[in-house]
Amino acid sequence: MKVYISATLRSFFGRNAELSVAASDIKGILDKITTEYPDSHKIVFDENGELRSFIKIFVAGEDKTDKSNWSEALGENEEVLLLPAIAGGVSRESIIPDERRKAVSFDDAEVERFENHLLLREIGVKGQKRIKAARVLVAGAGALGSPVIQYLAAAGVGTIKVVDFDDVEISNIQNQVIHTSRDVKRPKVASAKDTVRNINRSIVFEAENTKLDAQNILEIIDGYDLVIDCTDNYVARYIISDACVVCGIPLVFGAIYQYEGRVGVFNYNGGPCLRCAFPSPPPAGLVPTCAEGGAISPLPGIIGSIQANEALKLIIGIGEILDGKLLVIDSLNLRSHLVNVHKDANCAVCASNENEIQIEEIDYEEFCGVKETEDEIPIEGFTPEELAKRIDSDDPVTIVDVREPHERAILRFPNVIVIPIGQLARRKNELNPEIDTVFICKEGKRSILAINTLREAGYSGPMYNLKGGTDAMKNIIFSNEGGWL
Amino acid sequence: MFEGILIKKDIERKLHNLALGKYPFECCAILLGRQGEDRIDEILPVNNASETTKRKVQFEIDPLEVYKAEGEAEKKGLEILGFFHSHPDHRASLSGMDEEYMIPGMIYIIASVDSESVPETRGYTKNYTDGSAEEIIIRRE
Ligand SMILES: [Zn+2]
Ligand SMILES: [Zn+2]
Repeated sequence: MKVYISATLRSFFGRNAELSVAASDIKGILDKITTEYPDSHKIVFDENGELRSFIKIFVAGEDKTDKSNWSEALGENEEVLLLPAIAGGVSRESIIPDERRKAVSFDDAEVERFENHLLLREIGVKGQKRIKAARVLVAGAGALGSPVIQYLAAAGVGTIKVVDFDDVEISNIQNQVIHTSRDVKRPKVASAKDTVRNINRSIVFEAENTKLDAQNILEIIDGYDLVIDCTDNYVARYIISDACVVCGIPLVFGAIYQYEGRVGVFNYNGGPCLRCAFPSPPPAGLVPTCAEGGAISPLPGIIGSIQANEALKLIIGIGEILDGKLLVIDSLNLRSHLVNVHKDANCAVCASNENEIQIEEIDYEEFCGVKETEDEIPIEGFTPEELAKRIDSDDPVTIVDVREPHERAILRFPNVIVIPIGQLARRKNELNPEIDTVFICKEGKRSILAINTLREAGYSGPMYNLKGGTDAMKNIIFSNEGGWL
Repeated sequence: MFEGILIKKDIERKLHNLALGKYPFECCAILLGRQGEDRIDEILPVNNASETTKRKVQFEIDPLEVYKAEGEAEKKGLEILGFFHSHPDHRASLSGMDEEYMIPGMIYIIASVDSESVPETRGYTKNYTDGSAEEIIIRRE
């Protein structure tokens, strides 16, 4: 009997287009040809002896691939074709392996608790088991971490690790809804843990009261299925993304600033990483960090909820993922748009073929030209105490406030000249070069940028920076000398 | 040594137009070239034979169409080098199902397509020895 071998499979059969086989049925044919060409055996059959998905057997124009047809007697002149099945699909797959899903079980109370998920065809028992089997790391228990942690806990994520080194402050309560006024001065991770316990006591909550750095990051994130970045600074974001690449863990990224938020999924399925999207952070002096810049209360709720939703979709293995995309939401004008993020073929991290990628913290201030470099004239500064003394001494001093209007509204600094950074060069004549001039901002970083800007513009008078900004001044102003403010 | 697959600009344009034309459904095509030359010389668009409801996320080529195509290719001195398909609104990465159906040694080109553009085109092949899939370089000329 003649068996035609498709050109796509010929290399496993000595490049023959046709084989003469002495057999009376399909089973006999397969046995004979895979014995004659031993290399073809593992191509045609899988480890369990089953025909591989990409092999099709046709007899007289009919598909006889199914095993039930294999012992049918074949006529001597029948045309037998060994053909390829070419197929594929983009079906979403869960990031939680099946073995781990199968190892999970539910009791009656859990079935009742998760009824709303179990009712959804796309989630069901399988999906809910994946959620329970999942181990998710949340970096940051602040504005974005608040909705993320609470929704993960409510959805039934089995293990949640939260990393944050801050204590709760009263100003956090406005948009960090996982904490309450009673939690002020407690570590954020402790407060988050209490909230999660109140949601579902059976969730394993791992509290890590540590600051993430290049040294500890790998150890902290290793062994988790997914990392959700809820931090508010670039140094942390880059080390988190780099570590996710090293450990092969997908990253759900989120960021908020004033009224705008961004969400995206990085390092998923060989897709782009954070550095592909943002090779370098924006200049530090120009963009206040979240801590400096503020954000409207519900914005982190919107963005964090989308992060939690993406995380659950990755875990269950359903839907469209914001993979290679960044969703940008403008909450002020209620607009949103998707930005495509391309993988950078020269990305220093995710495209690197080095065996070991060194995780390094970006030197953020240096990156942005704000940090003093050696050949630059060093910037002199006043500590808050020195500035307070100087003001008390009646020595003439000019204070220039470069903060944004909303920042000045929170904390007024008396007897200052207000000049936004963008207008400094143009308005330098308003300053008297004979008198010491002190520049103030919220954290003492934008004020350095202000001094550098004026120097570049040719201003020659003595300039000083308020070290640590008005933040550092708070205690002095309020506790010691509240009188002069 | 295999140094990736060469795709000429006009061939890549044909692949992209096919993907855009079939959007939001997956399209598929047979890639033809000459033996021993890692270059795609011709493409043969074929029907996506999977169920209508699945065509947005799946593709299938009728094996008898492959049979017919390879016969015709041979007459022209060409052979099947591999297969092309599109991923509407998804990245051009290999899905588990794609990988399962890959024949070792064949070349698989995937294009990610949306309503107006083809943001990503990537190539893959499956190893003879351990059956693992790996990305290959697409050289464009
Ligand atoms: Zn595919
Ligand atoms: Zn990258």
